[in-house]
Amino acid sequence: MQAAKDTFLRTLADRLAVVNPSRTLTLDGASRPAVIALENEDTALGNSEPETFQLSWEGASQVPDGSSLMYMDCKLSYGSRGTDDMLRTDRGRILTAMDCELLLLCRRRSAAKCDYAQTPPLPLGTKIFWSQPVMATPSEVDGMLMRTATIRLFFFSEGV
Amino acid sequence: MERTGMQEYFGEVRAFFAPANRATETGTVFDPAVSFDLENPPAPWVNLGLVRNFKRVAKSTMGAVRTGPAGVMQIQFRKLVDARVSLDFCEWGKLQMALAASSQHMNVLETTGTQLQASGGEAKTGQAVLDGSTASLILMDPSVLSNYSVGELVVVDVDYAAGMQTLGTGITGGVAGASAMDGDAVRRVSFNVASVAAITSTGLQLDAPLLGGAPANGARVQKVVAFVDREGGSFFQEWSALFALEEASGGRVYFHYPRLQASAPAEETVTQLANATSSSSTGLNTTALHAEFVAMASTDANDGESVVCYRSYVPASGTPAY
Repeated sequence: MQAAKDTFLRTLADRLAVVNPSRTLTLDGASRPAVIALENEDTALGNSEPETFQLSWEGASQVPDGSSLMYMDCKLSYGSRGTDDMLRTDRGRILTAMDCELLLLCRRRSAAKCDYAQTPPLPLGTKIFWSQPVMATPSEVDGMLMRTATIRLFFFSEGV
Repeated sequence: MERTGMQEYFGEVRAFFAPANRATETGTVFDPAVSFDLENPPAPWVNLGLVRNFKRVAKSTMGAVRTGPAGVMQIQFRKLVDARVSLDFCEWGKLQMALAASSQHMNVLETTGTQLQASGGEAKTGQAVLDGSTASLILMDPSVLSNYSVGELVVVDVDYAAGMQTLGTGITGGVAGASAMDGDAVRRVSFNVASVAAITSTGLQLDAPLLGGAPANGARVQKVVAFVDREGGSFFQEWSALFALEEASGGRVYFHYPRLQASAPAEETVTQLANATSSSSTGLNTTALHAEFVAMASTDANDGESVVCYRSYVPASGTPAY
């Protein structure tokens, strides 16, 4: 299960680096694509980096079709305060741009599952695949326009 | 090795069609040993986009030789080979329409405005194609290029001449009828249609190569303003088809029909566009082109067997064979 989560995160980050190389996040002095799993960070980002795709993992279960296929729901939160130059009136446009980026990140809906606990990552022989993102209505909190999108991630449980 | 990779889940069904040679009754070969890029299929395969309600039906029947008072089966044999396919094309286009209508598919040429006809009236005179043209660049007299605009559809093909039996360069779009045909008859049914992507100082740059290849000698250019198909007529579309199940969990599956003939009249599948946030109607429908086909015989060059379709499975790396 951890391999599936790591593979999904890594896939989105790698794709964001291609789709929009300028959408980066600097944490602890290191710059990287602005896709993070909240559970992997040692400090809560809160609302300090809204223009970041923040993943959190929700319920997981076995698919009830008799196979060993499992699923896990992933919630992605992202948003924008807008820019000072535009007096923050561009927060809707930035959110829409991030919507489009998310759709591009998820367009090819599979990736080879790897065990990222090893170096180099070890291919595990199966793929993860996922549903189209379902985008919720944006909400405005303290001047930030935020959206959550939900994706169901499918994977085969292999004990890793 | 994990057996889970053998449980396959797939995404959408993608359709690709390529011309079949009607004279020799041979189709375009798809070799599963050669990688096939679903986003950029190799020529001559044409990407026709997503299809829905894809259904394969095999109507082949078996016979048996039985012996003895109890009629115990001794030998089984095939006495009828028949395979059919039905689907809905999600995208509208010239080839999708042609395949879904089964009959002759026509280009409605830009007209002079006189002699109105249901399939397009008297057309404006075609402009001559100059030597050196390619399937993507149509060289023309520079003085006529101002008549064209980027985004317009054009057809590029030869004039009809008495005695022609099949119509269309490279791809048969129809057959000569019993009644007299005008000089534009070939261009009315030709599949050598493309959109003008740019206008250079010497000609028209097309958005995609003409399906039939470089223009033949004597070819002319005419604008296409619409497409039309008709219920009736004597012509059946015949193409090679390849359907791919997009891989999700691992492997990819192909269904290859070397020769597929359209076998159903023009029908549409209408689906109401769902309103995601309420049960009220959006007032919008999506209309897909329903198509049905029958598979025609093809000879497998490896062993000479006569077959009608192939199913290929390309497993993901590391997947066990059994």
